[in-house]
Amino acid sequence: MSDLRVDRGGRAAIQRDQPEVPLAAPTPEEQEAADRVLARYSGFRRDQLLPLLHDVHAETGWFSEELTRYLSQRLGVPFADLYGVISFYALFKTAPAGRTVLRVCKGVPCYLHGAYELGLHLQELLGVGPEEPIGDGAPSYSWEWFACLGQCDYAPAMLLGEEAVRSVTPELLERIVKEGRETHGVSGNSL
Amino acid sequence: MLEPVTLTVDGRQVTMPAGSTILGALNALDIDTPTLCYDPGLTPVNVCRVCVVELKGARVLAPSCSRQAEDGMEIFTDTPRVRDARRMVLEMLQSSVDTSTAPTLLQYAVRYGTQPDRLEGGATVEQPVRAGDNLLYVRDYSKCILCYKCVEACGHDVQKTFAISVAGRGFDAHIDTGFDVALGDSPCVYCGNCVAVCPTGALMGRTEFDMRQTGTWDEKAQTQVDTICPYCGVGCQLRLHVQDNRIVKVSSPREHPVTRGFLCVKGRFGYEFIHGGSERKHRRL
Amino acid sequence: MAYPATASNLLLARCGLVDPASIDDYEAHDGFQALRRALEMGPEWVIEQLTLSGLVGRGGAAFPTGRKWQAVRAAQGEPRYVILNADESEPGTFSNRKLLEEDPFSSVEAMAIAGLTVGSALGYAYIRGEYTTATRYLATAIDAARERGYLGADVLGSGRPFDIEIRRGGGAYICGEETSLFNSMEGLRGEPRSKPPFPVNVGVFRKPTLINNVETLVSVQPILLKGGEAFAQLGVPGFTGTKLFCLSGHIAHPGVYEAPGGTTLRALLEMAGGVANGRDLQAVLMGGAAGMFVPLEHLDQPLIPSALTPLGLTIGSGAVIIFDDTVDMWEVTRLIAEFFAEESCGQCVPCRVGTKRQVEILHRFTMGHGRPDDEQLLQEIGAAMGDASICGLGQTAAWAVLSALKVFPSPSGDIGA
Repeated sequence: MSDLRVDRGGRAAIQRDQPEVPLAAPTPEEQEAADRVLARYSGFRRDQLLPLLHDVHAETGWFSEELTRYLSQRLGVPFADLYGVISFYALFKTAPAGRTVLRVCKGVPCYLHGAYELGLHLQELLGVGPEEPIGDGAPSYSWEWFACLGQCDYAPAMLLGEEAVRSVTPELLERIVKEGRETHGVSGNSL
Repeated sequence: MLEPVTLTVDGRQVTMPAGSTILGALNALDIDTPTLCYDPGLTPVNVCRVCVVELKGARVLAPSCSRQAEDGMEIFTDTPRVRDARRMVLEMLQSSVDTSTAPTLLQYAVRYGTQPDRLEGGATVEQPVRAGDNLLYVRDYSKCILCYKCVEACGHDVQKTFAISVAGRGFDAHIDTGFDVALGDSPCVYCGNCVAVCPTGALMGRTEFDMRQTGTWDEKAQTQVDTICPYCGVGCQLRLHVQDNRIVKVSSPREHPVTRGFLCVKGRFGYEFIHGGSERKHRRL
Repeated sequence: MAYPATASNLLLARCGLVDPASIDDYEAHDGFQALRRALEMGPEWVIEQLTLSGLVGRGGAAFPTGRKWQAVRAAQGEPRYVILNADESEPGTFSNRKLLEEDPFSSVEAMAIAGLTVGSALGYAYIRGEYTTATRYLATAIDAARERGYLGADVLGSGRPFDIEIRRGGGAYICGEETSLFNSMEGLRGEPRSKPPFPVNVGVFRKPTLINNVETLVSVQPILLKGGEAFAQLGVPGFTGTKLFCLSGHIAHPGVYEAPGGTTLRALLEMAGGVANGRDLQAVLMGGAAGMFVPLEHLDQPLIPSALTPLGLTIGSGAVIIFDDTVDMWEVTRLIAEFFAEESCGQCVPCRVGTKRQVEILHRFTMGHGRPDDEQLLQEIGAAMGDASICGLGQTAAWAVLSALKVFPSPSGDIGA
């Protein structure tokens, strides 16, 4: 099947000869995660980029500059081009985020079912505003608003990491945060 | 399909070779069509939308720079819909971008009677100038209209260096080297071809930028001298812009059938030796 | 105008009744019978049934499905691709999600039928990245179908290959636009391309591509089982068959409702239990964020193009959001404008700047310090976006705002002070 997609058309680029620029390397964890994923994509084609980015992101939680450079060199995708793709998609982060991201839906139906109040409640529980991570290194949470998740029949809804949570209530939020704290063995505001 | 196509523009018939764009037909009829993101040496991206025309039977306006001319098309270039759309595009740009060094855009603004104050007070792309990361050219993205020409020149269409790309989304979409790294940390080879195609002066040679800052840049006092680049065997044509007996800028005629106006770092920026003992000669680039 | 007798559920027939993970359950409920029929009767017959059925695209564009399949079949260029457009991101829309979570095999079967009809050996299911549950169910269904010979190198012993790969979106509403979806699949920014050329000729990887919404593809199965003419007996001329409508907001029983073409908003409201908590109906937004607020005097209009188009309305994705009398409708309109500003890809000036300016003006509106020419500006920005944007996002991003200006009283406050 792989021969079917030789014609990549348009604006994709595979650059084989990036200049040698001594730059900061990814962290050992980032490199290990990237290598694990790259091993599954031997014979990489440009159309596999999004699946690969999803896989890397699931391991690292965000794309640092160093990680992106490493991927650029290993994949043969120009660094600026790769950053252009990553920065286009709302599920990919280019700044450190919590290991678990809570995305509160702010679509119109969820708005009608109290999404804003939920966001404020989450802000109180976690002690941070949207897109501010808490915790250093250790497992941490962050939250943000997100566009309509398509769970409008169960409004208000959110994403807890990759999974949709339906019919969210303040009590459910408190339970999630409490369980997260217990699971990771921390107290107070840090998770 | 190699058949020529015959179409009607503002009631006038014209026959064009197969594969022509509507813009090709408009040019053949000497209809002065505004364009910002179009460049004959680059793949059309039809993002500025200022070249739009009305097409009979179509729900929306068509971008003339990229739309293929088809047999039997009926096109209108000066209807209220066309004028309003073009004016609105220009007003939107004027309200969000610094157009002070975009003479073509400003001419169009006059032609279509823009009143940019109407949209004033909203978000702009104003940001600090990126001037500190190299000695040859300056990036002032406060002036960027996101025409994609620099990305195309640096990328697929000309240089194949891919040092820059469009990043982000929506109003925050912008030109980026990737994490906004300094040019020295990017593959940029300082060919200046991005500078050559930029329609607004967002990308500008360092000399020109500095002279504009000090108020000494005076295009009316400049002469242009065509010569051949002395550096390598290709022999690109250089157009030297001379003011007060000093070269202040180098361009290259876009109509040149071989080089199409694109140069390398040596031809574009390597002219200081002509002036003899320049204070720059001891600095590393 | 009375609409014809209610059809028994066609598209939702198995939802909630079968175990979505069980291929046996699916087979026991007519599963893969349409695929067998398609193989037996051949591609021309399949396309003829689709044409007779009058099925039009259910994602919002309403293009005749039979014509699209025929165009791909006749297109020049190999290979061809089939794409299931499951990027469903229109606010208030969740019917694709329901179909994939509760009846995933129907999409698998429909894609196989499509592939064999248009001459494609490879299909892609492009699912929005946020639908992880739906993705899991579809992945399981694909594996099970392959195991049983419904997918693979030799579909049901026909000697023809067809298989499906899943691709997840990265969180971008614009990627539901077909050409953006192609670019996204090619590993690029999800920016739309200009049309023409159209996907049937130049699609993903610049090859002929059949791209259909989940609901459209799932409609193929009952059409082939009952015959196109029987499908066309449902609904009304101008909108045959059934359509899924997603009711949400201040509605008593939010959910996906299947109704025959020609149904009305009032009928849908009744099906879903009316306005929640016994409150009064203030507004109806039809078509999601890319839709319009419907003047309440039109609740009895049949939801078909010939009735809606003269009123400047459209069904769109089938999303119907209900607002009771407690809602500040200008705040909602501002939220809709914000949505488009955040989802615009940023390529073209009318949409990139226009969506931003819309938000700013509406912000002034809702804070009570609008300027005297704000309404005029919104009209002009809306017209430019509608006329000159590259794609449907920019072209429709002003619709809700412009309809709000028509339907709701201007916000009180110091406009023109």
